Amino acid sequence: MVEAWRLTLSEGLDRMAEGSLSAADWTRSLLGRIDALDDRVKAWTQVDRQGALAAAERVDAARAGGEALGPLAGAPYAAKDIIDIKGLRREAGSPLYAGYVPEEDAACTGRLREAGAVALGKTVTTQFANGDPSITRNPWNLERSPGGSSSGSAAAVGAGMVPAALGSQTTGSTLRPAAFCGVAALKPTYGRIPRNGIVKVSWNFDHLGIIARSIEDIARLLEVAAGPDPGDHGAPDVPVESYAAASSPRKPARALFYKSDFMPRASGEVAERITAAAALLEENGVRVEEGRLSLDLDQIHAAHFLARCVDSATYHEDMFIENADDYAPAVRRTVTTGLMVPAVHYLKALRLQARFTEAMDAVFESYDIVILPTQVEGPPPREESTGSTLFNEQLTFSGHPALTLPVGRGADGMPLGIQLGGRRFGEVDLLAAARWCEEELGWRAEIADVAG
Amino acid sequence: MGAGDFRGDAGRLEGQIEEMAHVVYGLPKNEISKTVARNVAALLLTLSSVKFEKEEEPIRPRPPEGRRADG
Repeated sequence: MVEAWRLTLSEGLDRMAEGSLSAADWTRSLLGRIDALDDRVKAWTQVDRQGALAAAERVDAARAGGEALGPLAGAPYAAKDIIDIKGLRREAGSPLYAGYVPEEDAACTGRLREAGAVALGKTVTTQFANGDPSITRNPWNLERSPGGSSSGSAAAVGAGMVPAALGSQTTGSTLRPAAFCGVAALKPTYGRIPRNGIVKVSWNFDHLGIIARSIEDIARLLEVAAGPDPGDHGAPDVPVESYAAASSPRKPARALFYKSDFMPRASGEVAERITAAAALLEENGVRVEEGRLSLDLDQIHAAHFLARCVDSATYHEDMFIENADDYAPAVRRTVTTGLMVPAVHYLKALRLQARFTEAMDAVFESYDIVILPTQVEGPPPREESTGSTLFNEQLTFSGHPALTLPVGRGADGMPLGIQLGGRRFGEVDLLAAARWCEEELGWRAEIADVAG
Repeated sequence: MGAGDFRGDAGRLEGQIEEMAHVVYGLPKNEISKTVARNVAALLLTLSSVKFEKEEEPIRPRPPEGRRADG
C-alpha cells in the first residue's frame, strides 16, 4: 500500500470515494511527512494540525452519515502566506504584518472550504511576494533556491508534504518555483480566480496560481476556485467550465514555438531541453511552427516592470515611507521604482499591455498552444536569488493562461520546466493539452527524495 | 536646453526622477535611490521608443468572443 502522503490530490479523492482511505488518515500521513522534513525544507509558516484534523474528521463523519459532500471533501491543500485563511496568521513575509490573523477567508480559500478541502496551513512567501530570497530550500537540493515568490507552496508540493497548494504570480512567482521544484502549476487567465483576500503586488498583473503534481489535480482545484466575485472587479463574468471532466487528455493540433525570442537568452541546457521537447511534440503528431512575439522582450520587460512597480508603490506608499527599514531590499527597489515613474509612462505601459494582449489573442486564433521555457536557467544558490523572471513576464503581462510541466533534469539533477500558454479563458483546452503531454510524453512531476 | 533636447538624456533624467520622488513622496536620496533612478531612466527611454496610435486605449481587451457570459 502506497503511503498516503505520496498520493496526488485526485488519487486521494478517488480512494476516499471508494472507502479505502479516510480524510483523517490522509491528513495525519501528510502531517507526519511535514514533521519529518520541514526542519530542512522550511516550506511552512504555520501548520494547523488541530484545525486540519478536525476538518478531516468532519468530512469522514459526513461521509459515514451519507451526507452530500463537496467536490474536494477531505482534499488537503496549503496556501501561500499572502492569501487569507480565516483564523490563520497572514504575515506576507513581513515584520509589518507580524501576528495578523484575518477574520475572513479570501474568495478562493472560502470556495475551497465550501467544497470540503482541508487547509493544512500556510506556506512561506518571499517578503510581499517580491524577489528577496526566502528561508525555504529546494527539496531537490537544499542549497538551491526553490524559486519565488511562492517558495513554500512549490517546495511543499515537491517534497510530498501536501498534494497541492495555492500560489500567486505577478511576474513568474507560481510557474518558476514549480519548475525549480519539479512539479506542475497553472497561472490561469487574469481574473479567472478572484483576488480579494490576498495581499496585492499589482492590480494589473496579480494572478492566483495552483501548484500540484498532476494536471488533473490543478483542474479540480480550478473548477472550485474560479469564477467572478463582486469583490474583484478584475474577475469578469465568464462562465466556469467543468475543468476536470472537460480536460481529458487531448493532443493539441498546432503549436507555436517561440524559439528565437527565448533560446538565445536561455542557458545551454534549458535551450537544448526545450528544443528537444518541441521536437518530441512534432514527432508525436503536433504541428509545431516557429514564430516570434509581436513585441521585443525588453519592451515587454520595461512595460511590465514599471507598471508593476507603480502598482506596488501605490499600495505600499504610506507604510513604506514610515517603515522603509522594515522592507527587504527587493521590495524597497520595487516601491522606490514605482515612486519614480511618470504617469504618462505608466499609461504607455498599460497601452502596450493592451496591444500585446490583443496580439496574443490573434495568435490563438491559429494555434492551440504556445511553447516557451519556464526558466532561464537552473535554480541558483538559495541565498543569492530566486532566479530570473524574464521568461515568465510575457504571458503574465498579457493575462493569458500559462502552465509549467516538468520536462526532465539538468546535468546537476535539478528539474527543468516547459511553459505552455493558451487562449484567454481557454483553460479547458490548455489543461487537456497538458494532460496529453503528461500521459503521452511522460512530462510528469515526481516527489523529491529530500537529502539529509 | 529646450524640451525637445531633453529627450534621451538619461543622465539628467535620473537626477530629475530621483528629485521628484524625494520632493513629492519624501523618498530619501541615497545609493538605493540613485541605482533605482538609473534603471528607471533606462526603462523609461525603452518605453519612449514605442510609438502609439492616438486612439490606443490603456485598457485590456475584453475576453475573446465565445468566452463571455454576455457574448
